[in-house]
Amino acid sequence: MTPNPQAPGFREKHCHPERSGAESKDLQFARAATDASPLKEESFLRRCVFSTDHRVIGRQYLVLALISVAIGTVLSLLMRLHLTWPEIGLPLHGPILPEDYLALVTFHGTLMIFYVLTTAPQSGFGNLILPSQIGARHMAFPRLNAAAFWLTAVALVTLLSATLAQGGGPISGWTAYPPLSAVASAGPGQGLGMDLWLASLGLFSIATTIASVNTLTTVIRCRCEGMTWERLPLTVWGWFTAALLSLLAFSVLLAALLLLFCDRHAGTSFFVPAGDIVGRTLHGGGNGSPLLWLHLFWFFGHPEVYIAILPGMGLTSMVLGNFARRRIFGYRIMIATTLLIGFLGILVWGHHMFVAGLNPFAGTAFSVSTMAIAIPAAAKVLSWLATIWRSRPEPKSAMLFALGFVSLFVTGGLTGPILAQPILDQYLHNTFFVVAHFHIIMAMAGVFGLFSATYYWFPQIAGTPLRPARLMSETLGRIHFWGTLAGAYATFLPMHITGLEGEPRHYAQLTGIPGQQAAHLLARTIPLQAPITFAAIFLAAAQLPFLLNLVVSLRNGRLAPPNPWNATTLEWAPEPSPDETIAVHRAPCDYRQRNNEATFLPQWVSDSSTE
Amino acid sequence: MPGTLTPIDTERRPQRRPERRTDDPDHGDGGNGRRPPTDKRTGGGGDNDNWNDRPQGHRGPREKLKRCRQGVFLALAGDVMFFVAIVSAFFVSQSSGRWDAYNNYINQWLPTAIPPVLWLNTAVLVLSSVTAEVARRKMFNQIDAMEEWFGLGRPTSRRAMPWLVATAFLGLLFLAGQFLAWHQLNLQGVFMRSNVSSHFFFLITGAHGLHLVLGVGALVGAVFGLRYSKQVENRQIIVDCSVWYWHSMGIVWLFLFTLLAFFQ
Amino acid sequence: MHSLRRQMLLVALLAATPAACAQGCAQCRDNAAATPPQTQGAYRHAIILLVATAGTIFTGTVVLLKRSR
Repeated sequence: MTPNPQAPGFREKHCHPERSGAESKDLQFARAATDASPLKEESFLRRCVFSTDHRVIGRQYLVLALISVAIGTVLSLLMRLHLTWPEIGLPLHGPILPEDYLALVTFHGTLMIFYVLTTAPQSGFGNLILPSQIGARHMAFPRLNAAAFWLTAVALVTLLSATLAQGGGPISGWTAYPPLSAVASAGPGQGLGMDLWLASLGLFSIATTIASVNTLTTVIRCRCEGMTWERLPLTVWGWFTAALLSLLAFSVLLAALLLLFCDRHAGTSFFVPAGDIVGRTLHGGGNGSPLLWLHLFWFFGHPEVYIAILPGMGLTSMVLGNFARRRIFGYRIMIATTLLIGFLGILVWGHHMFVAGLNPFAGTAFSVSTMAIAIPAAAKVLSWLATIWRSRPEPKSAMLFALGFVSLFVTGGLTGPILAQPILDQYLHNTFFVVAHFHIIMAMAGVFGLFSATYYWFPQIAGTPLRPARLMSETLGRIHFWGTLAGAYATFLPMHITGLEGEPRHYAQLTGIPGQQAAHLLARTIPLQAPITFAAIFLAAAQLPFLLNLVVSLRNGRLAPPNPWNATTLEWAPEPSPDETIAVHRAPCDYRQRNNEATFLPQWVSDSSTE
Repeated sequence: MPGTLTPIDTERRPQRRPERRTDDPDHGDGGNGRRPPTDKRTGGGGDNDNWNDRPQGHRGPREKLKRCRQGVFLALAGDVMFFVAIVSAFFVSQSSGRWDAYNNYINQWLPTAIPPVLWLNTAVLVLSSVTAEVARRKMFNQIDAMEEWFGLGRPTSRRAMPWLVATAFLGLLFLAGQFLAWHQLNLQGVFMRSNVSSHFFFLITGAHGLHLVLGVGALVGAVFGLRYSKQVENRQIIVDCSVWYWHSMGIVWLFLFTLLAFFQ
Repeated sequence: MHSLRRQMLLVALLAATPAACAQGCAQCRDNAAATPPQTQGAYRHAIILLVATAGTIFTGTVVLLKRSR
């Protein structure tokens, strides 16, 4: 497991000496797995598959997320193709039936939200980078960490197996509203397919709870000397808050899934109203209510979207500061806003239910809290802008994607307060306006955060004890960025317009609808469908440079010098030897101007070696 | 020799106080010169001996224990949310009715009379918490732990083991009692699907029972750990965490039992 | 502290909300119309229970951690 200093090329690439003067090793190798002693030969299974090394587990999560996002993107393209050209059939499958379309919707939502946006930012990059950033050598519970990953992998396989279930995959959307989801005969795929979906999410909830316990305990207990709460990088604050939200939200999801399972198989009626007739059969022995499911699900569902975005917000702050060579504007306020967004995220779930017949008092309360959450979010945006104001950032790919995050966050965030008004939501609920809103602010911004993290932390991803750390290609990165940014706006901005015109969600077809008014309304949304679909195809195609970049850079990328971005956070410090004490001496982002020269003071350098 | 010595640097450079002093609560005065520094963990060695400053792994004898306890309590916080979600569904379902064909409002909630054996089960669970706590405290008996750390036998494990076994046995007794209660209800024709209240009765007792099965598993694991685990620190940790989980499940049961017995 | 005061102000704002007009789509409105006052009251209690528990755990964790190291 020891790095091979004789291998060619590793000594020559020492091109960026650290200005801080800290002693650094010549070789930028990733931190070795400290769990395994170099003398013990570990089996392949223990070392690569069931490894308890947090970096390996982080990479495993990232691979899982990459697979999920690829599948999810293909599904979304199929959805767009079907909406625009309904007569097109799939090669081995035939025409896309309405239940197929709804199954596509369900799998797209479930894969993207759970298996991409909950795993990659929090567990993928969190496992990879969090211990280094707080000066810990490993996470608090390494074996639980591995168990959580493998449980997630089993959950993904379970979900994908639902496509093969008898009757097809579930069609009730990622939100699984009863009675459609509670009655097996309510639709194709609602039998075994729905049960597999429930099993998958149940396993996923348990896995995420374990992972969040691990993250929280690591941040609370495993910080190094000198790493106080105020000196934690904002990424760590993002991971911490997201983990706390995870802990609270996924337990409620598990309870809701359990109740739904009992409704389906134990003859209970938590969610099925009395007298509900489905396909000529009377269901519902007791007085259930779908509203109960909505409350329980959205109590989970809203914190979930904050779990997806908070790590990205923390990363954006740090990346913007790094490349603009500026301190973060209002560091302590940024910490407070992170916590406040997390806390308020627990209070706003009712805004998904404005048209579900909430008690009007509750509707207003949720509306106010939803608009309240715009305040810390706006404070964050102002801080990002103030951090880079009148600076000359280096246009590296990581920086570009962080700027893209800010742009998409603002765009998507502006439609949030619109949807937060119950009276406006009455019209816009279940239209493509909502789809546009959450895709821009959660899917696109969240994914931009992931891209920024990939470009920024690629040396940490690529560098193993056996392989040197590499950088991704900047050229491909720029192509990727501009293509994705243009594609994202081109795809989702027109959806606002179609949504305002009334295009409903979950409709498998927009043509051939009986009823004159309905057909008339839908006909007005048709002209924009083709441009949106072309833009979506372009957006998907724009990811190919990224995949190419990944593969090429992993093999032949430029070797990364130590601390290639001249950052101040601890993950870029030289690898500590096993008996060295890791310590930090200041807050991160200590970039300064001295004698008209920009310099910086990393966290790990003590005062005495400067000035 | 110059007549006057002109300092090159006439502008007073702002002296920045080293940051450690102001933002680090463990050292310095908390910022205003009045408040004492917080939470200095020392072994009684006086100043400059803050254990929090030491590297990970050397921050005092209970560092790993505190980490594991932290993990268990965080997981329990999540578990509390799970039960609270079920309880809130309970309250909603209890007050939900429907309108029948004649516009009468019907609430079909018929409280499920809890079998009296549940009272006995509760007493058994409380007793098991007592035995569990005795076992836990015996693990931390100072003299015994020190002897064990020196390698002079395993007095703590020896003393705690029977209490752990007793706890596990009482736990199994509780679970058997729950099964008995279910059986008694079934004999009276009350099944999970019979009434909304029985949905919740079986669900709540079932979910709690499942957690207790995990708890018994943890206790059995602790017994094995006492026998086979090599470090006394690890033995203390596994017993401590199992017992805290057990106590929490007992407290949760008290709340759930009160709910089922008095709030239906 | 600056941020603490702002947080408390926000919480106070949230607690002082007036009633608003009803809203609803067809099926959900029927469900709502079939919800008599006791059930609405039960929902209110359940909402408060869930929010209070989660909020207490969240803020309690943050406060406790700010106090200790």
